[in-house]
Amino acid sequence: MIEITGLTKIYGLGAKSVHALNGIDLQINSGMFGLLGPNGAGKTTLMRILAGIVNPSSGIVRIDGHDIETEVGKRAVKSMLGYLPQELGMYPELTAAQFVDYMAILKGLDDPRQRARRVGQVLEMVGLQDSTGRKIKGFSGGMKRRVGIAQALVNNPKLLIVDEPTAGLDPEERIRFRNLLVNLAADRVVLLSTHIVEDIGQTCRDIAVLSKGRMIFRGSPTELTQAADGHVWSLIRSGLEKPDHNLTVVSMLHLAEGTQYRLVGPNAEGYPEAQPVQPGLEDAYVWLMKSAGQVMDVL
Amino acid sequence: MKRFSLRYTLLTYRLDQLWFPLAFWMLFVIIGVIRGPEYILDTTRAYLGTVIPLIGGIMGAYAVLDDPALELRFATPISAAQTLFERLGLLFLIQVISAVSFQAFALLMKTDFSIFGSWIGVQLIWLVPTLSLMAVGSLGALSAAQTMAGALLTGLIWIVELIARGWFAGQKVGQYFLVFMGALMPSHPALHANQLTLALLTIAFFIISWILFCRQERYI
Repeated sequence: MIEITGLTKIYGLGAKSVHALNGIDLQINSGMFGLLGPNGAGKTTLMRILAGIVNPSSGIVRIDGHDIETEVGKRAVKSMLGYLPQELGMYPELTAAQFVDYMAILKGLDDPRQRARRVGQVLEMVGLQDSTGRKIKGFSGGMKRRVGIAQALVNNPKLLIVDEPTAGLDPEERIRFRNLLVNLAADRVVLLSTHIVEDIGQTCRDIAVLSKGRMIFRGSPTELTQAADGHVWSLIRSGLEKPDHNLTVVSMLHLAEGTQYRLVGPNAEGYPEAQPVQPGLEDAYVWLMKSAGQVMDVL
Repeated sequence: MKRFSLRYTLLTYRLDQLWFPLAFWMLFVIIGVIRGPEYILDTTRAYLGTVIPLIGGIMGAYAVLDDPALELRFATPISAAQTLFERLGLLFLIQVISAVSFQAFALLMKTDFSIFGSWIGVQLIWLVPTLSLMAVGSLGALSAAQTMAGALLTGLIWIVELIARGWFAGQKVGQYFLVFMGALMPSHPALHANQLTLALLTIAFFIISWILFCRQERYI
């Protein structure tokens, strides 16, 4: 479905230029695909390129056989695209139904009856069937996100791109949102970009991790976790001094006998009392970033 | 596929921006009434030939980029030309309503428009400068990727040309670029050449605006 070869994006010119993406090669087929990485890794740039909003500096991007570099290809891709940007702007004076209806018109759904039916369907899919007539300005952040996903789905897209969709949502809404995305991925490509490791682990079988514009991992969450085997420890210390020796503290918990640290690093030779533990996805992500040279200032 | 809805174009327009032209319209109606029929021609040409173009230019700067859902719009297959046309078209319609309704008021006050020549001549005194400054406003905003830049550029051109209109009118080259010539100097010998130059510049500015707006990544 999506073939990316040697994709590079450079913003600015000369000494002030920034390499947002650097030689990305990626193939994405059907189902849910997760794109993980810290802020500034290039995820949003990649999403925007795939949505036909940002032009690549070099490289080839083909979506369902259409070359995104050409105007014709870009329009063809946009016709089968559902897009939820990271910073979701909407018209506050419109109701949820009006907003989704307007987006449906812009996407080419001309028949008013068919459109009204589809608008009702997608608003029901996101659980907003009782708020269709309410103005968006009165919605919570989570409800706005749901309107955002409804507008993305209104043209029944083959490709759904969602950029940081769970940012700012409460835990219940995050779970609901993740489940909705998994359901949608049954018959289309869903590209989920996030810096929240948990979101990816719960939803995607196939992931890529970006760091500083480069792809540093491609595989399944299980493979990512396996890569961190032997690099995660648990350590209980009574003093206030945090463990060092090139170890990253992933979490800490104050217990009666001292502070329990969860540590990630190449080895724990400086702490013979440290116990190796089974890595989780978050540990694996930290280990990957650490081994890729990304500064991890977790605690 | 039409991918257009007049209803939503109107509903998504920032209604608070309508106070700006409405307030000036009412102000000049009040001025016209207070100053009476003796000065109504001056009031009318000041409003039609200078105030409407300024409002058009400033609103032109905000028309396209001041859209909260711009990124979502960019992800749909509608063209940059359509977005420009929709947004600037609506804005132009507001200026048309302002100009036509003020002319109706001026006629009620028994204004004699004969110094501008024919009916078309009367319309050109506001149409040409309004479209010119709208083009300046949108070009300024799109080239700087900032609405304020377009509004400032419009205001700068407006104030400089208004203050130095005599100098512009007397210059060999400057006379073709004086946007207020139709309203303030209707008997100037270079009027038609001036209006033609401004019309061509307006077309060029709108084309450049369209080319700039095709590069969507500059505006998100």
